[in-house]
Amino acid sequence: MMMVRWFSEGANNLVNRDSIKEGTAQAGKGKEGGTPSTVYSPNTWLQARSHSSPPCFLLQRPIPSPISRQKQIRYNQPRVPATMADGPASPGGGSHESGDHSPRSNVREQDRYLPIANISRIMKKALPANGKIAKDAKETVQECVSEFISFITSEASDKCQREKRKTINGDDLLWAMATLGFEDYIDPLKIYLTRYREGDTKGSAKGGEASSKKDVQPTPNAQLSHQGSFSQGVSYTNSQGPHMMVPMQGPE
Amino acid sequence: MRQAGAYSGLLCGGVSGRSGPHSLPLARIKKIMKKSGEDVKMISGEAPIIFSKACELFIEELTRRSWIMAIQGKRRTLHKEDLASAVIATDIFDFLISLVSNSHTHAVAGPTSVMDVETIHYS
Repeated sequence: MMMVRWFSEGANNLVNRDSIKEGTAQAGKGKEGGTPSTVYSPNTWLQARSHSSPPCFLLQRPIPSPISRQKQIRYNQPRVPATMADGPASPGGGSHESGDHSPRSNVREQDRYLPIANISRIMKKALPANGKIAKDAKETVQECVSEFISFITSEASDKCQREKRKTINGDDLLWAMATLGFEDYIDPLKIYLTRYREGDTKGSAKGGEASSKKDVQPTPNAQLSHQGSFSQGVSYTNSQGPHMMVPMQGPE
Repeated sequence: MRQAGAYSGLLCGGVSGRSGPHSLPLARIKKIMKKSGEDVKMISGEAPIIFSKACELFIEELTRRSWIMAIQGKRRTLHKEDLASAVIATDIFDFLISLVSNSHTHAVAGPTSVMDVETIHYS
């Protein structure tokens, strides 16, 4: 199958990471609710869900209506299964090993996705003026973004655990992005963060300049030069240096 | 949370001009982060800020790559299939494959189109 070919061609390390992360993610999901081993079709699952009692921390949340979008079901299926790299797995198909209907599925859609209006606005920015976006594309991007956040966060969180730290900081996220193949984002993010801090500490003194160049490009500039060694491909395993993170000024 | 006035100059020409300092809501990002694992308990204040920009870059990249797929299909409307093709054709999007390929049956990109996409880098 095509997908298998892609996995084996370019992304071996990514698959490995993925499978590791999947393991933890699945374990995390499994911990929470009694994971039924039965394979549910979406409809029976919805029925079963509305009858089962969710854990207490979810009780105050409204249970979504059965006419929910299909993606709410899909979201709880295993992400990239580790077996995908080895043999032809049906790509996320239907109901295979969909045993983990974790109680997280009861979380409202507003809690799981970023607002579709914001996403659509950003998408339009990336398209030419004559480009249109179908609704299913917006919804898919919405899911992808949440997956992206979880993907990066899990990697960063693993790193924090390894280093026995409790707080995930920006450095961890940048490290995770670099590790997972998004090193192109690092420079723009560093610039963004620098601008943000400047705006934060010095008021709007530099705000005008920053706003005119909101979409920072990964071009080296003065801000980068004193920012330290977060350039692409440098050893991120030792990224706890003092170069990146200044303690946040704001309360959080 | 933070006061808007303290950094409102940062993005005043932002996405729509009225979308506040960040184009994506930080509280929502934080929620999604917390849901991504049991061990995610404490999140530094700047983590959602980084994500607000990172997600923007991610959405733009995904959209651009999908748009190429739509163009190759001689369409001017981005569909889910285009996203799926772009995800399959891009190594760093491999973690999305199971998500996009669920109801996706036919949009496997050929090797030629894949090569085209691979030459496009984030700029």
